[in-house]
Amino acid sequence: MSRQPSFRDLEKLSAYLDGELNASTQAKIETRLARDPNLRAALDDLRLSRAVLRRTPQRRAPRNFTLSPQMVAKRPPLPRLVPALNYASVLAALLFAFTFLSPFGIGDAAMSKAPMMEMAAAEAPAEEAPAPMMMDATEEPAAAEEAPMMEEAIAEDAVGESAAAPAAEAEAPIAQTPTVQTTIPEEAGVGAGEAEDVEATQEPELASEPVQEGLPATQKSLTQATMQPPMQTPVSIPDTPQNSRVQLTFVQRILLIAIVLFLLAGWFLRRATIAKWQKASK
Amino acid sequence: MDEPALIRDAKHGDLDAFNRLVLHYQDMLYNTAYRVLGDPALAADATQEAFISAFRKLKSYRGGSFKAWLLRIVTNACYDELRRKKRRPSTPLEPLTENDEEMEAPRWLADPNASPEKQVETFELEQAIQNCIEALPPDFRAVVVLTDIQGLDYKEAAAALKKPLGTVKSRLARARLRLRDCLQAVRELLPAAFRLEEGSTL
Repeated sequence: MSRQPSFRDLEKLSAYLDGELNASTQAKIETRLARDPNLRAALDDLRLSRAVLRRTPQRRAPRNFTLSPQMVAKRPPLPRLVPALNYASVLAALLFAFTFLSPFGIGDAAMSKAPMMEMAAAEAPAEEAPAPMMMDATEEPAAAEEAPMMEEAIAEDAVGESAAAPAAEAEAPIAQTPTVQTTIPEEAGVGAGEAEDVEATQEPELASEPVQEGLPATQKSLTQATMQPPMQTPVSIPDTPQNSRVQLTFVQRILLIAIVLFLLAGWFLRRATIAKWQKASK
Repeated sequence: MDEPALIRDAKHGDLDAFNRLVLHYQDMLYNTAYRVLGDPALAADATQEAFISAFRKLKSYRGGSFKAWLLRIVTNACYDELRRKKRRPSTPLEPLTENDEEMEAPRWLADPNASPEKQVETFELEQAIQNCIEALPPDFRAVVVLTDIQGLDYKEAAAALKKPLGTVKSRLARARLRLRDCLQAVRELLPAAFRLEEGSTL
């Protein structure tokens, strides 16, 4: 038995003092305490230390530490509508963005019209355009332009010989370009100036090229006449796809309005709640 | 005081309910902070911080001893204060050995400012004890304050400090031994019943 108890013994004595030893260890230490005066002395020291600490006067808190709402920066309980409105506006924004992305993915009525318009512009007869544009219920300006085009098409039909070509084109829109090229020289050969003009005003580029290539012998005044309308027509036809970009579809407008409405409603609701809460907390 | 009901209400954001708990526990928290920090102003700051953070994370309280839960928060607040103080040290008193080794010569007892006579004159017993507590490493301080001053059992102290029971046991023993050495130096201040024996070998 060493004269000075080891730290392990002292640790046990400390725990023994607090009654935190298990039964067997406690029994062992008690038998050792009975034999070893050094151990007893160490226990007494520890007991005294503990007694002094336990007698340490308790200080009263110098002030009350109660909390005010401002101290905890507690947010007022917001109505559930506020996060709901926020989520709704985010959802609307996502949908809104999706309407612009759709041409690359799933076909969307709103956007598929742009390439269609280009195709229609490349084709000779006017019937081509109205057909896909009828699909675009959402596109207002396009729909507005349908009527005159239809009239022109009817006028063209009335002229006669080219009637077969538009019909073929309506059935097979992609394969029609060669047929157009073949029909145009015929028309020009017949000398149907009206038909030429009508065609030219509608489809400038394609119409003018075949005329120049296929009919080098024909008078230049006619080719010039066909060249001139292209200057005017791009104003009217490419106008439509441009409009489709700037002017939003019905769905897009609704979504845009929804985004703004949801955001504003959420913001006002939040402000009103906070103002009410601040008033109450004062 | 219906503590569980108050806690439940406070969890739902009832600040009044929480403030009733504050009033009940503020002395205990302030005392703990004061014993650990040894500075009334710092202790008040730590106590306030502790109550604020207790209210904020009240939802994380899952039953058990609310007292131990609060004491853990205030102990952590004290550690934060001590860390802050360490960053801007005002007194270079760091008597601790890092590896938990028993210090044979308690040189932290050497007070360059006041002679023992002066201490006897100016310090009350409480101040003497406080000085001894402050001479302990923060971890030892917290254990001894929680168990011997606040009267927690080992299990509660272990929960409050988030330390294993064995660590609490060992730290408490070391802290008591150091305190015993320290208190012996100021034994004149101790009431007769607490006088430490001269002949003690420890």
